[in-house]
Amino acid sequence: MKEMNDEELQQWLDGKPSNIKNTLLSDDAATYHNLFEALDKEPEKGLSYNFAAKVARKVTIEQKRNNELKLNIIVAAIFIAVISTAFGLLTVFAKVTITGLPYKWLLICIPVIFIAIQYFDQKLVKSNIFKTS
Amino acid sequence: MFNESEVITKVLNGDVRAFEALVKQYERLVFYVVHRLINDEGAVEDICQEVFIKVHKSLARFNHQSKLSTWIARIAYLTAINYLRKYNRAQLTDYPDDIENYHFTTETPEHLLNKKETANYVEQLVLQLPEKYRTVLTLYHLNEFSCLEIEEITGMPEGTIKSYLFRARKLLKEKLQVYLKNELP
Repeated sequence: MKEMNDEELQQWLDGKPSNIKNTLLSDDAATYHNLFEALDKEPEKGLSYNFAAKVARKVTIEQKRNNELKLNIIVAAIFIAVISTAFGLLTVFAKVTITGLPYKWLLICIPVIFIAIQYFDQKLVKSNIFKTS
Repeated sequence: MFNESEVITKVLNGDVRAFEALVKQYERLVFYVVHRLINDEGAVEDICQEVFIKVHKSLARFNHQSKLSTWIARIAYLTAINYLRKYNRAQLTDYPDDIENYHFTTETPEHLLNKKETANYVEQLVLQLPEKYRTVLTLYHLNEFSCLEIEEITGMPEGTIKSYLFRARKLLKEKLQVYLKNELP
């Protein structure tokens, strides 16, 4: 085999020559061959065996959380719209202002309490369940 | 058989099983990139997980102009680089002009004796190379990307990639030559 310089040797080995074991190699070529084999060797370590399942589970949880958040925002918006419409109608037709209503605080508190329950349910209860599972 | 476009469509339709199959298909690719760039055992799996979550979030923006593997490798590369910038600047070394005179720290006689296998020795040397050299070597040899694909992944010009590849392999060859001479009776 003719003497090749570093560049030629690297190019030659990049072409993955066959039957290399039967070729008489120079010192440089043999070292390069060893080096290429070492570089092509996969690391012994790897990710945990259930890595894919763990990632898929995490993505599912995140998706579920996002969906619940969207749902809560929609429900809260509907609640606020219904209450506002009711107050609006009362003001227009019954000539009653919001300050004149007997249970005004109760009506205002219901949507606020509902939103708070949904928020804490998601933040505290569900996040703890996911952490322990 | 892994059908790329079919799996992408299923994932975009919310099929978690298809996403799991996608992760299984590319987890080694992502691991190689992250493992070689981040020399921190504890962080590697978390970063790989972050890579796949990013893949899931942005899969709708994948435009099929490149291979999915190239696209995922780019996300892995950028995530690892961001991690190094944020937490471990020491590993994000600038490349010395004279890489030929690069100083490796594992060459104490005791260390050489402990390195029984050539592959382990080479791995130790690679881990000490500047980050760009490590990236190019890993993508080319372990992930079997072409220089053009590496250009797409890293944003480095093809000529620079070829130069890094040549210089890194020449340097490693010289170190390995010394090592093998010391090892062989």
